[in-house]
Amino acid sequence: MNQVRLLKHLPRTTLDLDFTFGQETIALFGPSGAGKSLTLQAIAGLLRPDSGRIVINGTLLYDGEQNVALPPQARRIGYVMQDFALFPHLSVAENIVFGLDGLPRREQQARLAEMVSLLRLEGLEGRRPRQLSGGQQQRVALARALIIRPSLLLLDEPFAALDTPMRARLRRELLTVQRQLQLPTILVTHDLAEAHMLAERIAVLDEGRLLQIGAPAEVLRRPAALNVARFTGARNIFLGRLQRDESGWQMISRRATLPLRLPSEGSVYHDGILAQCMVRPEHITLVRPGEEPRRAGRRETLLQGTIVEELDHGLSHSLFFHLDNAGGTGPEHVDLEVELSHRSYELLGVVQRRQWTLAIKEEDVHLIGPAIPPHFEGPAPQPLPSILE
Amino acid sequence: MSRRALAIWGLLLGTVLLFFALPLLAIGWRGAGGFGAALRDPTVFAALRLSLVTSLVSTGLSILVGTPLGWVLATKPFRGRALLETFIELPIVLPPAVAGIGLLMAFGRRGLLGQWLAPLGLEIVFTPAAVVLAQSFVAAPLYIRAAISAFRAVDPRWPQVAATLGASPWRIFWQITLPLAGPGLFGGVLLCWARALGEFGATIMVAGSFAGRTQTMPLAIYASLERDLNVALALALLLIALTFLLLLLLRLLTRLEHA
Repeated sequence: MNQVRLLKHLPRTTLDLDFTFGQETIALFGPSGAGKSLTLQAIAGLLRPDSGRIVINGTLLYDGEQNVALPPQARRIGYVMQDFALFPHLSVAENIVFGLDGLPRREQQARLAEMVSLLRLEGLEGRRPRQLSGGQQQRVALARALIIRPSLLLLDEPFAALDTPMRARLRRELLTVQRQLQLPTILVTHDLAEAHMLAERIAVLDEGRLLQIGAPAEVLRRPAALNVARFTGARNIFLGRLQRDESGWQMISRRATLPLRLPSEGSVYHDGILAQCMVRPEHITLVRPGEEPRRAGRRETLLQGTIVEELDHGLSHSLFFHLDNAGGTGPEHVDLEVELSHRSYELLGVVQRRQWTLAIKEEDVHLIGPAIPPHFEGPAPQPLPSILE
Repeated sequence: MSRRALAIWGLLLGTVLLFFALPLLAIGWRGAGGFGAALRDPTVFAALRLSLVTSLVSTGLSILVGTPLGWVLATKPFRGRALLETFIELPIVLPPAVAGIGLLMAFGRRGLLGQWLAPLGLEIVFTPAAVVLAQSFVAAPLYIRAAISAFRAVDPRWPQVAATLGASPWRIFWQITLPLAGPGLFGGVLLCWARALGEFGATIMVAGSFAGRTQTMPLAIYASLERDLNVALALALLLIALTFLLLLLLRLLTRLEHA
């Protein structure tokens, strides 16, 4: 088991984290300035925390109370920095074996050969870093970090310096290498797709704090805080009161655009409580005209709305709806954002039709964070996070 | 560009070039004839040897002291660092005469430090050691300043990565930091050496001008001016050639660095 507990006061932020992980990949996800890279530096021993405890693979690396702080040299942590930080004056081979100083030459060569074939660097051994493509540089950096047989791998934005097609290929390659080596990994990224694809769990950071850590699907579907929902691309966030009727729980939004049916399982609700919930734009369905009667009895909310704005992303479309029964907002006000694949967009004929019935399944409505207790009577309608901010 | 503007710019450029080139050309023109004969004058050889030895010793001392100092100033933040850096740069802009009198007051027979050294039999003033002292005083700051910027230009992530790969601070310095700062440091060495080679004002005050003992090339030029103009010109030509070579080397080096 690996443990990272850190407290570090810095001029601009305070780093305050506590999480444990096993033989898995954790993605540190969050906006820039959230403290992701600083966390890696602290784990690697390049930044000394004020207090806390770091245990990797059973070895105590840092303990503020016991006054233990191993230097980076003694930690055996493979660190691939942003932009790779290859030694520019050394060849590819010299870069890779740098961490093997002191081992017999034959052993060095054997391990070099192993890394060269693992990361497909054949024929590049004599080159200088500046003669390599971005992808090759990344693989050399990875080889250099892996050759010391680390007990933990740290990757700081490993794909940020690469172009999109290269990125997709190298992500797959990294996955393969990871599976072969079975190495616990902490990956820093601000790309949600990357976190989703490479990590078993996502840790969402904001201003030096851990907002949530969990499986990617869980973080996406059940954000523990408003900012988690925001960072992970949630758009439709509502504030309202929970209410029970004969068919189950509903949320009555202050803007009266809904009652939204809430999932009947998985959450504990209290009558009259104030809460925030969110619906991901890709979870809202456009109902074909005339199909509404057939949907009766489904556990979903049906809403009527008009498209007031749309964005074409190429492979998908963002549709911005004004809901018909939205209370107190002008006809152009955007109440709901819907994301649709380009294929569905064409099949449904969205170009010709502006008025739609929208369906939101109850399991796609997620309460954000802890509910606000019923005695809370805030100053009347709180400003809602605008869906277009 | 109009023809008139062209003419004005051309005239300006020509004047400037002439202003700098004329003295050099004049030395060549007047000195070429007697150059061969003048080289055989014992003063020339003695001054050349002394200049090379003292300037190399001064440069060597500057490297020895300035390299670790530059590294610390570049990489370790501490209170008063900016002040210290400014203080170290002061001798670069200080008039050599001020440096000379300062060194006399410190190392002279009745100087701050000299009065304690004299009873021990350590006399610095008017010895070759004083030449080295004067040269180091004015030239070392050039090297230290170059070393600071050379070390500062080394991305701190390189030594950091090296540390995570198990390299000791000592190995990191020799194998990562020093090679990467190398071109910048070497540039500093050349500047420092050129400055030491040309030192005149402070040297004449602290070391005097004794042929074969403290008379470096610039001092020998000044001394031979009245005795034998040809010797002075020959020395001047040698100095021009030496410094030109140094400058050329520096230029090639910076080009190499940018490539």
